[in-house]
Amino acid sequence: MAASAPAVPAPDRTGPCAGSSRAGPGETGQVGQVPGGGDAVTGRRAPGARRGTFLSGRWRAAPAAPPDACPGRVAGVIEFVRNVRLWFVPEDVRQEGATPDYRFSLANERTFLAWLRTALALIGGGFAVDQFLPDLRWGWRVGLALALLAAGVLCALRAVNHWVRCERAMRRGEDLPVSRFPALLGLVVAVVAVAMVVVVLVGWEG
Amino acid sequence: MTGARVRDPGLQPERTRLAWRRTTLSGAVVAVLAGKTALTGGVSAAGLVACALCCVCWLGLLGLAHRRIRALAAASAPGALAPRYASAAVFCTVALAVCGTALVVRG
Repeated sequence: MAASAPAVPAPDRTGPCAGSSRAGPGETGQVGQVPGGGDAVTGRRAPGARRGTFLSGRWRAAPAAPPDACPGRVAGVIEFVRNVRLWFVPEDVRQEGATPDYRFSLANERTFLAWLRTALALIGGGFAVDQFLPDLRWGWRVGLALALLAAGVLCALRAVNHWVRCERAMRRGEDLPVSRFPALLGLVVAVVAVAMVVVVLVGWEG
Repeated sequence: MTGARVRDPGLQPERTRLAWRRTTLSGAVVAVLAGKTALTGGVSAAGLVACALCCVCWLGLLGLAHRRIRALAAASAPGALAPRYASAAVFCTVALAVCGTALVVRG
């Protein structure tokens, strides 16, 4: 009586979620796979192809996403490399999960563009520091300008990375990724602003 | 309204179009500042090359925005932005910053 139970796997565990490590795609993947659903470059899409995991006003998040198997810095690097590959291989993004409501993709795109504008503003700030504070000593001026330019580069790279992660999370029906980058950028901008105040007050005398 | 297209009451494609326009405008400001950096304090061949590269990057952003805006206008439920386009826009931005670094260090 006790020997028969462990020998046979439970038949109801052989569903689409049986071997999956992720919680979401078993549900959303069945809904969404329509071949030739559309072309994101040209924006053409078959009418009526709009669908997704959006139900009654809120995202149906994956229930209880399992914790990462190998947390830490190595996993972060691996994830980043995978994301970098996705920047250039759009088909891989589109194979996962279900196509979300187009309005969410457009909102994600606008967020990406806002971060790109932030990056452009930082780059423009670097030029402005170089051009419009000519009385500063060379080291301070170039250092501040290069710091702002580097912040712009970081911001642009992070923008596309975060966009890819959000797009994939929406396709999988997972929660959107969180990020501490806005707080870090805020701190950097605050430090640069304080440095500017100090430099403008002191640098003109020195 | 023609009836063939159902207009989104939230005007999402229009807002996305304007976001692209704002981005190209920011790029234009950066390109103008790069031109000022390159042309003040003596014109040199390296400065002119960097300035020309900045202008090319800005034109690249403009072209991307143009194509994306046309795609947004073509469909009533436009598809998501292709990652290729996002990467290209980020590449143009990073190239602007690299040219800016060259200009700032040179000056």
